[in-house]
Amino acid sequence: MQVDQARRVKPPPGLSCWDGQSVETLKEALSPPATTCVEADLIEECDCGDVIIEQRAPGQLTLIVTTRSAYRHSIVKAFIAAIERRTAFSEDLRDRIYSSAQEALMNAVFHGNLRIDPNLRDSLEGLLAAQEAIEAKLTSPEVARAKIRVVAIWNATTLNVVVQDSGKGYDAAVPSNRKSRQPGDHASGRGLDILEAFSDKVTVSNGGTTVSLEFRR
Amino acid sequence: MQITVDRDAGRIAVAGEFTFNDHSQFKQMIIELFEAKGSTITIDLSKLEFIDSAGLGMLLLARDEARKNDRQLILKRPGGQVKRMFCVTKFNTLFTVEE
Repeated sequence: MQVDQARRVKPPPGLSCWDGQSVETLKEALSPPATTCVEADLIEECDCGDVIIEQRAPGQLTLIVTTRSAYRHSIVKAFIAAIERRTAFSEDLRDRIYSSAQEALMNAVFHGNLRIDPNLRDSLEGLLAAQEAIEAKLTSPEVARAKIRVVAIWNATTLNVVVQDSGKGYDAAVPSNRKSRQPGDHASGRGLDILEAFSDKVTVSNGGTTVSLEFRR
Repeated sequence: MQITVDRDAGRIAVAGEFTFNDHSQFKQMIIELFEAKGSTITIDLSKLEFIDSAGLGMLLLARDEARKNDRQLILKRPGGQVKRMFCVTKFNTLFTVEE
């Protein structure tokens, strides 16, 4: 009992808390020596054991945010700037990481946690309907607080970014329609092509809820 | 994303980042498409630093709205990451893009 209370009073070293208010406060929360940054709404659920294990990686940064904040704020840009404060990389690599991590995050928010029909965004009316649907879904605390986890792990030769949502994923028994529906003139459907073009290796696992991107340095 | 409009010249300049967060600015862009004079409207991308697939999709929707009003949309001077995204997605086969 005393141990539990002590854990609550003294968070693990490297754990920081983001208030979820703005990109500016996120940049501050991601500043060194933070290795894991958790949004305030989720801090009670944060498994301190996980935080300590993650800290064992030599180059690592984890961000855990709500769906609401991932939708409202440009969290990927702040996250990449925070990695760059810890390990330098070229402008080319920065563009590649940002472009692909942004797509992975967008996938996690829209299709993972919010479960918005991707075809909706193929017309102006559909896009406006999607925005209304998103705002309506975010009024549900359960949906708004659904976690999104972004992890970066790096060494001298590679940098990996993993984006994980809390959605149900897709049913592996249902064949993907990706090959039969090329984006062409459609306003949506380019995400995976962008991931493959900008990263050196893309792995989609856990029913699509986890996207791992590898970049050679 | 920031938008600067010259209705008389039929030109919309966009700056900053055009991502899925930019719905309200996109709605403003659509309004300006209807207000701008002339049959050709230019979107100047030279100050746009970043675009994601949602931003690309919104540009395609803007193009479609312009066509419905018998107008042509031209994208001008994409650079850096934006140009790279155009290349990866073969965007210049879907748009008139001027350097």
